[in-house]
Amino acid sequence: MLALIHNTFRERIRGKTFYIVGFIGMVIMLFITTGDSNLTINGKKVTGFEQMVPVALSIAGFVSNLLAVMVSLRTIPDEFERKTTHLVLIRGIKPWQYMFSLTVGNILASLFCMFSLNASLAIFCIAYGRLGLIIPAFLSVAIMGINSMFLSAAVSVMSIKAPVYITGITGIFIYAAGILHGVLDTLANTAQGVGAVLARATLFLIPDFSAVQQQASNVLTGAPIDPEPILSSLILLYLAMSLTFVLFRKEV
Amino acid sequence: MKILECSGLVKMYGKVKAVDGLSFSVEKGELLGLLGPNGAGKTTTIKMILGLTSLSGGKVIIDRDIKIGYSPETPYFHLFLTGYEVMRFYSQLQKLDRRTADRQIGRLLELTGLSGAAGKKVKNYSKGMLQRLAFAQALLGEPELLILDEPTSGLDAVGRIEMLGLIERLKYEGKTIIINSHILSDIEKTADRTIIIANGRLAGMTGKNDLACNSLEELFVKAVGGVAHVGTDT
Ligand SMILES: Nc1ncnc2c1ncn2[C@@H]1O[C@H](COP(=O)(O)OP(=O)(O)OP(=O)(O)O)[C@@H](O)[C@H]1O
Ligand SMILES: [Mg+2]
Repeated sequence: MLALIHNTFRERIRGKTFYIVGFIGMVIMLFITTGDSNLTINGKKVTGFEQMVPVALSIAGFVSNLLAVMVSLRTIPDEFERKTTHLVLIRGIKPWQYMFSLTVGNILASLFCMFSLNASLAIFCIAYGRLGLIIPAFLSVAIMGINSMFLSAAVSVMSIKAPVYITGITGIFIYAAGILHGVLDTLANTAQGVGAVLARATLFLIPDFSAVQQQASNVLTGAPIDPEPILSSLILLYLAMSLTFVLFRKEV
Repeated sequence: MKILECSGLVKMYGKVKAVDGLSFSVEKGELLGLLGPNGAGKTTTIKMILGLTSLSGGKVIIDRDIKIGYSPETPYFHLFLTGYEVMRFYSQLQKLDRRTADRQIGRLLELTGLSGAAGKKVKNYSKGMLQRLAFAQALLGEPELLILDEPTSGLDAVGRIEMLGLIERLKYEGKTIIINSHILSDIEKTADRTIIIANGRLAGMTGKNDLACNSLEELFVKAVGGVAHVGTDT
């Protein structure tokens, strides 16, 4: 299984992905280090470090979560389409081991993208002369990584059964719903009828990405951390991963 | 001793009957040829034996502990890997220890004439090289049963002769081998016994030393021609 995970990871982060990540990382860096003079939030000019942190994290989070979807989208369908499945399955690898390993490979690749992108945050800390923040920055990125991990796992699991475009669209939808979780919760709770019940059920299965991101930001700014969104995201991640044990394709 | 037995195999792809009640068995140490025109159902039969596709009917009896090597019809690998890395990857999936793996990989790449290209990305391999690599990986872990789907396709004349020579050698080493082919001469030269498949059905069978039998070619043309004729009538 380790060989499969390693192979998947390698294939995902090779060549093109790497350049895309590098390029976006640089753009974010540029934005963060020069953008503080003209960025405004709620009409207030964002200047200080404390205000910049959540902004920077949101941007990095946005990009790396999209990358998590992109990186994870094709792994499993490709494997089935080009029939590389055959020479794996005849070697006694069980379907669940296979799907689980490919999903873990995807998750690792997504985390890798996330960490590379957020290396810019570390530089950002240095630029602000906050060397003591390097370690909290890592912790913060690790918390952010939970979102990427969930997205990657959800997309991987969906891609076992669904066509790529549906998986992609749903992946983006999950991300959007995760970021707007708070707002959508309020809406779903005030509305009535079958639609509202369905919406609440759906939201229950999607982690609150912005709450997790908030905790990541709190680590950096020194604000208190609420473990609840982190824990519930981890439980949902576990649930998504466990689907790799049951889902497989009929024609390999 | 029977190493594999297929009885009444049926495979439906939607309404298409790719394999239609096929029965045969393979003896230990035997080289069995599956011969048939394109679309006869040879590959589908092999996939059913390997558990790569579900059965619509019939059953495959095979000892689960037996080690099987498989060389697919169109070799598909992870193209970003080198030839050596492909072999390494599969050896890891088979849980060969590093020393054994390295020894076998070296020997198999040598055997298939790929030593020089071992460090080259599979993406840049020619068709013949991919075919050789497919053959090499099938031999990893010294399997008792080898299933080769069109092992000579994509090979040039010399490569073809080399490949058939290799297969013959494996037979003398005592391996049980099933070869799929639509090329009569490949099978005629090497197989102990040949099964002719047409339209998913058993259309003929012959042993190499079966003097009472017609030549394989005659049998093949008759079997296939006959079935094709029935096909055009319906
Ligand atoms: N995945 C699939 N879906 C639908 N039909 C299929 C599929 N695979 C094979 N078939 C059909 O099943 C029949 C048998 O195909 P198969 O590949 O087994 O033939 P074959 O004897 O191996 O031919 P060839 O010599 O060309 O390799 C063909 O009619 C083919 O179109
Ligand atoms: Mg075939």
